[in-house]
Amino acid sequence: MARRPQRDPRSDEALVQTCNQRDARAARAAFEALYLRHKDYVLRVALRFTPDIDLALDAVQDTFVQLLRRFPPTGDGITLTARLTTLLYPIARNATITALRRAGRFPVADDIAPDELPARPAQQDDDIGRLLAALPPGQRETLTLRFVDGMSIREVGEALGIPEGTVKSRLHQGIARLRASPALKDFFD
Amino acid sequence: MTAEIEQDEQLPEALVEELKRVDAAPAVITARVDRALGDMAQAHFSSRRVRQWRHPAWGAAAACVLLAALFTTNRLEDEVVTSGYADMADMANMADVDGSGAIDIADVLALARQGVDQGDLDAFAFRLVSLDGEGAP
Repeated sequence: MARRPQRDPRSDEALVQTCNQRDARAARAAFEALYLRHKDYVLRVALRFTPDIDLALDAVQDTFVQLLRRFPPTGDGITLTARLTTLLYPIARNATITALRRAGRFPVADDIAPDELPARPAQQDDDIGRLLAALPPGQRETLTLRFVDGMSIREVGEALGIPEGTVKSRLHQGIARLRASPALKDFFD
Repeated sequence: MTAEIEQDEQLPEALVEELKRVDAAPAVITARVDRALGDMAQAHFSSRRVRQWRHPAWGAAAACVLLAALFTTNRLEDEVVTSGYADMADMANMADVDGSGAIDIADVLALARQGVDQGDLDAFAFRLVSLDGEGAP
């Protein structure tokens, strides 16, 4: 993999289409390009839920294994309807939670309510990090996807599997909490 | 829902930059991880479906035996005689260990994650790559 160029000029959509096809060599190269392009994003997502680097790396590997299996011959292929991160986010999030459960650090349950999401603890000297960590998990997650990951409201809804109205509501409540924080007063003046 | 919520609310750009700083991750994905994912992609796209074991326990047991044999063989280094990537893939592709419904290199990694020594796993990954003639250092 080290011999390949770090940046493939093709779009995610073109790379995904190549992975959908039966040309094994081209598909492998395309998948590697997708991996190189998005591995850091997947790691960032994993580290939002755990401070444990090893668990996060497990989640990165699991995420790309799951993505791989969606392509032939094991899967039917992928049709992108939004940016790839919208597809990767829930896979990475669930892979991280699975890794936490395997390590006995998160309870096993069928569904996870937004307010039950695990979170990486903020560093004591980081005001912004502590404020973000203090937000209700659903609001924190929505704000992060919208403003840090740069997703549209529709994409956030797609990534989280919730209606756009819920996304807007969570954003509104989250922004209101940040705005009310004296530590962030200078940002909003 | 209020009109206020209906609009697409924004955060100050400086605050967004701070949020991105908080979200930054250390560069901990090593070339070894990259290589392992490359191996998986290669095995996946080159693989073909093979029969599944009627009893998963037998499949897992067979895979363990194969892995043990494979890793022992790896330790012999130059004495190893192999007949190409396809044969190695066939050896690995004997059991749907992770229950995905498909059999691929990820099944071997699934076993590896259950406690197989990392050095043995690396040796296996290296052999897969070198047999294919790509990506070998």
